[in-house]
This record gives sequence, C-alpha cells and structure tokens, in this order.
Amino acid sequence: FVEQKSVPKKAPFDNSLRILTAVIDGMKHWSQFKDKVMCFFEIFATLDSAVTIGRHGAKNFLLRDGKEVVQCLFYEHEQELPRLIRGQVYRCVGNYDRVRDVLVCMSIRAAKPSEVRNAQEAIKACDTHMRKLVRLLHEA
Amino acid sequence: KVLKMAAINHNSISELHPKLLYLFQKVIGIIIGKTDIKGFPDRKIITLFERSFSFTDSPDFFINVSAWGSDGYINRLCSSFSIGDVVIIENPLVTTKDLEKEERFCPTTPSPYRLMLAEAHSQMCLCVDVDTSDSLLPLIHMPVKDSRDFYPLGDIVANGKSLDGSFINILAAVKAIGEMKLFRKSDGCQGQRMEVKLFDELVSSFPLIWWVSYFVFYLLVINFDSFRNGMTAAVNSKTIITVNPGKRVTASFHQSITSITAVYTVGQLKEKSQESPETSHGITYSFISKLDLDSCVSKVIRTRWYAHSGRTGWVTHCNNFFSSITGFDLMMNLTDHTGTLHACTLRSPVAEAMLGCTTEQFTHLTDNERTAMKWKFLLERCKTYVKVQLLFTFRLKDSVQTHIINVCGNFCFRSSLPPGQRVGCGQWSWPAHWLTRAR
Repeated sequence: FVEQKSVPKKAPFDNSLRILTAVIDGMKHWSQFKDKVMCFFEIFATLDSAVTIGRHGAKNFLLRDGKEVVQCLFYEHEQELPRLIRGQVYRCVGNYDRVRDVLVCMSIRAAKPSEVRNAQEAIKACDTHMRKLVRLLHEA
Repeated sequence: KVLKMAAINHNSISELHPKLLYLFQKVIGIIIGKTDIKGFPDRKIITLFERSFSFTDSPDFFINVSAWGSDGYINRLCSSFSIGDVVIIENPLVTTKDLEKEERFCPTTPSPYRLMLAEAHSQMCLCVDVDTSDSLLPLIHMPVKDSRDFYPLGDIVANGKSLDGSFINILAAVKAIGEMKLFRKSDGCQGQRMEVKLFDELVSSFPLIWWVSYFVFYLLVINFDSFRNGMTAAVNSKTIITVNPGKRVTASFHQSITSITAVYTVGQLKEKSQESPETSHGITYSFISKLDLDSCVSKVIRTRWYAHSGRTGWVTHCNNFFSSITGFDLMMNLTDHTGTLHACTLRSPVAEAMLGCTTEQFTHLTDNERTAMKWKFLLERCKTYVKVQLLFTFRLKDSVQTHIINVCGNFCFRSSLPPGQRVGCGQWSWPAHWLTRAR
C-alpha cells in the first residue's frame, strides 16, 4: 500500500513566445533551448559591413557587439530595409537560425540612446530569467 | 467665508424645517439640475405648471424645489435661471417629501423635505453677492452621489439585462454628441431626442439617450431611465449631471491610469490572473508581437448593433429601434522575456490615440499605408496599462483575457487626430530598474 502524497500543483510551463534582449553571444547561447523555449531576440549592435543583396533578394549585413559578429538577413516582404549606415548602432529584433548561424531580422532601426542605456539592465534580467527557466527544464 | 454668509442672514438648506413655516426663511444655493415643465390642465380651472429643480449649498446636501404657478410665471422662472446659477430663495414653503412622487420624478435627495415656490408668497432671485456666489460655484462640479457609487461602463455591459430598468450612476467622458431628432410625445407635444456617446477606460462607446422636451432642450437634465441589455442608458427627470466632476471623482475615473503603478512582466501578469479570479491591473513594458492592422478592415473596425427593446414608453416614439457604434476592435499580442499575452483587446478610444487616426481616416488608408502603420508598432517596446482577468479556469493554455487600457511608446509618427483627441498616448521613459525588480 502506497500512501498517496498530495503533489503540489505545478504551474504548467508557459511556452509562449518570448523576446529576449541579449548580446550576440547570449543570443547564440540561449537559442540552443529554442525547441523548448520559443524566442526572438532584441539586440543592440553596430553595423559592420555594407548591405548586400543575397539569395532570394534578401539583404545581407553584419552586426557586431564587441568581438562577436552575427550575419543578418532581412527579407523585404512587408517593408523595405531602411537605409543603414555602417558604424552606427542599430536595434534589431529577429529570429536566430542556429543551423545557418544567421539572424533573420524582422525589425531594424537606429537605436535610441535611452534604449542603449537601458539595454544592460534588460540583458541582465533576461539572462537571470533564462537561467532559472533552463534549470526548471533540466529538473523536469 | 462663514462670517460673510452669516452677514447675509440666511439659513442653510439642511436647517430648513416645516415647523419654521411662519418664520421668514431665506436660503442661498446653486442650481444643479432642472426638470421638465409639467402642465396639469385638468386639476384646476386654471392650468397650473410645475417646474422642479435641484438646489444645493453644501457638498453633501441638496434639495428639490418645485415652483407652481401660471404658465407665464413658470416660463419666466424657467428662462431667468439655469444650471450653475447661484440664487436666493425667500420664503419657500418647506414640506415633507412625498416619497413616492418625489422619487419617481425628481432626483433622490438626502433631505426629508422639499421646497415649494408659490407664485404669491415666495421669491427667487439671482444672488448678486460675488463672494457668496464664488464660494458656492465649486459645488456645480461636485457629484451629489458618493464618488465611488458609480458603474463603470464595462460593468453595465457585463451586467446586461440584470440592470434593465434600474437607476444607477455613471461616471464617463463624453465622446460625441449626436444630432437632435424630433418626435411627438404622447401628449401631443414635440419632443427631441439626442444620442450622446460616452466612453471610459474599457468601453469605447456607450450610447446614452438624451430625451428632452421641446421647451427645455438646452437643459442638462437627464435621467438614466433604463438599461436595455445593459447596453444603452436613457434619460428622464431624475438625473443630475455633474460636468467635470472634481478631483476627488475624476481621480477614481482615471484610477485605471494613475493608480496603476505596479510594473509586472507578462509572466507575472499571467500568474496574477491565475492566483485570483479578480481582475488585476498593471503596467508591462513589453513588445507588441502581433498587430493585425493590415488584415481586412472589417477585422479592425467593428460596428456593433444594439436593439432597443421598446419597453419604455418613449422608445416607441422613435422609429429607430437599433443604434450602432463603430470603433476599432483590434487584437494584439504583448511579449517580453517571460512570455506572451495573446489576443489583448485594443479598442477605441485607446486605439485611436495609439494609432493616431480615427476609424474614418483609417478606412481611407491604402493596404501599403496600413502595413507601414503596423510596422511603426510591431516589435516595438511599449509601456502598456492592462487589465487582466482569468477567463476559463478549465482551460490549461492561455485563459487570460487582457484589455489594453493605455499604450505609451516612443512611436515616431505624426498624429492626424485633432489635439483634443490625442489623449492617452505619450512618451515614456524606460525605468532602467523595472526588469531587475525583485518580487
């Protein structure tokens, strides 16, 4: 006879879309959990290349923060890529493709000074949250 | 102030008593409401007319005054005084309220008495003492009811038929005033009917039927007559309208904006709604991750039709049994690092303020312009004031209903709205600590 213990009700894991503010390195790191935690990324980085036209008309460019670089793709389905100036800091929201190692950008525009100032806090908070979440995933 | 008032030698309204009948009594107060003129042709040989108004001299006390007399006297009285006038009433007759009659036709007062103005005995004149007038004028902006005793428009809609026929208080802002429509009353007189659209933070448009007699169409006397399916408010003689009610009250109206100070992540809002069935309010700094501005217009702008039941007498006088309200009715998703709130409702007037255009202007946009408009908001971080509540406890996934109360963002666009309508939206500065707040 096994006494049934009342199991505390566990909140169902919320796997709805998340948008994480991250540095390029962080984005690459957290994307390894993408099959469990669906997420887009917001990054603040400097344009470090010219904008070129790649396959299927996609615009290609490089974004850099510190030593990290990520290849970016922008499909002009609904909106044209705004004029980007090399050396300027941009705020980019997109979906990181781990296999191809490219960030498919959905929104890109010049970063506002206030956003750049706040980005560190946001990145810290997202990291803390993701670390907790990953721990939870490992326990489960 | 007290000394000055005393110097004029008058009673306060609350001091009036029928037993002081034979003493000369004088009260000074401000007119806060007026009712229709009623004629009583069959009672006496001479037609008597009655005219009631409500009168106050303190924030928590007011009384109804009826004037009786000939057509000429009443019309003179009616044209010389309007709402907001500070008047002196001399020698009124103080009578005990006939509860049944009073409560049916006049605003419910805290006083057990009513005042009668008889043509021969009583006098009513404008108060010329500026100090006295000035001290009483603020009362016009003080609601006669407890400032918390009102129904948000959303609650009226939610209550539906259960509120049908009840008298309630509403605190709302006027969005639009419709055209005056003529109709003939049952007694043969011409009447006018007007529809006023009200709104508050959750309901973008709520019709209030303003039914006015031909003689006094300019008056601000209305009554919440009945609520059909909780969807319209109508007018009769029991109502007092307080225009721009004071801070105490508007504070509670703007409660949803100013009293909402707690910042939550999307995850915390979801948790909060799971924890308690009550609705909760909060601010979230999140990304707009879905906004279907470029789907077909019928999904963005909706017209709701409301049927009048025709139960109340006057409704049968108008041919218009349906009324409609048109407004934005959008769904958007809000996402941050902790998850997504799906299908948050964004309606007029918040939607207008956020998009910077009216529904009318929106319908004239090309597809490309609408897509461009969408991208001004999509994936941008906004400060959003939300109301969340648990919808279905039996569903596991996303049973949270979210209403957007206000959206502020650093959207760069030129608003095509006239300045008066550009409310709600504003710039915000991002508090750097919000994300790392321990909770």
